[in-house]
Amino acid sequence: MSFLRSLRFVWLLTKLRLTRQMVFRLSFFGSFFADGALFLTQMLAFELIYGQVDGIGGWSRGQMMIFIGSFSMLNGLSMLLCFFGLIELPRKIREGGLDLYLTKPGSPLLRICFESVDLGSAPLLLLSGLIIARGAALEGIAVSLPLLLGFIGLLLAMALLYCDMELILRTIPFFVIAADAINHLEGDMLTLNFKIPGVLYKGGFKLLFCFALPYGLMATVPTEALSGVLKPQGLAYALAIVAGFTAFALWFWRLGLKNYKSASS
Amino acid sequence: MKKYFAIAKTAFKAQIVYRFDVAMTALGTLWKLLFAWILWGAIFQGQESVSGFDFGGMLGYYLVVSFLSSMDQSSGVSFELNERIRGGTFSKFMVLPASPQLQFMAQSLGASFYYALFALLAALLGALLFQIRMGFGAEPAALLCAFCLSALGLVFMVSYHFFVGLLAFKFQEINFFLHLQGNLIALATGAMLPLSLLPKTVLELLNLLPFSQVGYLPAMLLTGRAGLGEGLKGLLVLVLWTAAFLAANRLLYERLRVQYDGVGI
Repeated sequence: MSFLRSLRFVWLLTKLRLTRQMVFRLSFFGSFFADGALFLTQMLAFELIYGQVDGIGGWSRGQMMIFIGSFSMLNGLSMLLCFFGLIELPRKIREGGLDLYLTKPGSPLLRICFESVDLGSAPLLLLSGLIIARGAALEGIAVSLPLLLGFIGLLLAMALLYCDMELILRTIPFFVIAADAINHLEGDMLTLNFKIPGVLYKGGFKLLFCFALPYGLMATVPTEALSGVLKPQGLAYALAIVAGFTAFALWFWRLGLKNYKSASS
Repeated sequence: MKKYFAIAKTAFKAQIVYRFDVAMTALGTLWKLLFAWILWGAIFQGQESVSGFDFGGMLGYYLVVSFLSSMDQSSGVSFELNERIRGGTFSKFMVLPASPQLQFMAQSLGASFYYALFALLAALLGALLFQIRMGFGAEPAALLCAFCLSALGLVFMVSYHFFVGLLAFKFQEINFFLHLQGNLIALATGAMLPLSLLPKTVLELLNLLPFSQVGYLPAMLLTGRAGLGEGLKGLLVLVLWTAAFLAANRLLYERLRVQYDGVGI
């Protein structure tokens, strides 16, 4: 499928999804309110901690704000684009609902990812932007255009990594029946990592969260970039992780499809 | 009372089926401790004491609140009520010769007792792993008060979640509100961080609400950071709020149940 055709396809899926979502008007902005409250309470918690201490692991209050805003932005981008589609994947594999996607024309992965676009999450991006801007102001960062573009580029790369992890974890049910375990595992990893910057991990935890399950890099790297402390090696490492995990996610998805037996078999 | 005791017993036994959920909830206690160990470990590298806590005391606090929050299974009440009212399967509670509020109460408390066993095991394991020495420096009467607060806290949380769940009769879609209030309650109960970090006026206001008596106060009593006087005051506040919610739920249920069509959407 060409790029333009894919875009047209995604646009069509978005329109269909919007029509369905408008039925429940009260919950249209539900994800925004729920996750917005989550990140605001997180921000409040760190404000309270910083009321008592000067720094956490060498990070200032401003850097922590940028970190929370960045994680909120990644979460918002994921929910806006693919989260609500991918979360259904284990159930579709278990119940054989994936058959329908495989027989339809076009890429099944593209359809699964974008059929549940959640436009109600869009305001979360604005809220995250405001948190990041507040962090940058607290940190006294003079934001130039190249710095801003670099930061946005890194955020998008990390959003890709975030979605890669979602896809990898939800491809596992092709091989084992463990849908709930995966949701729990991902929830625990995210809850831990949106509260703890990657710089605080040491030893085995560093290996786990900055390499094996790189949740610890996702918001830390953009924060370091914006606050001017990211070293070139750190940047190269982060981009290599994104490239490696994207390639692995796509390979793992194809392997999973080959292993798919449908519910009837 | 006999029938409610039977419901509680059945709910207790039914948890054996959900072994994975129980294991993950118990593991959640360890995750929360890991979070506290990493984050507060970094904070305490720079200073000896934060808001009257040393590092060991802080871990002790998180150990108790993690145990209490793992034991509390009341959030399932509002989610189940919402699903059943929306889906039209609430009818079974209307035809059974028992009060729906007490049925849900018995069901939730039965599950909580089962979870408590595993949460206790996880807490003991956490205390060993993170070398937390629980002092239990409080006087025996204060410890008894903490026990009463924890037990009554479970009852209050069920009545609160029953109240929230009943709103589905009126608004039909309250899913986003359930997620929204979950984050706020985590903050208000002190599960996120000790409420003593809050400004004094805010803490005094929060002490008039029931939520801080459910997690924060028992943890402070058990770690010897609050006295019997504060415990008794908290107990009185919690008794009043629980009585108010139980009464309000009866009235609200009688008023709203007539709006239920039993069809579902």
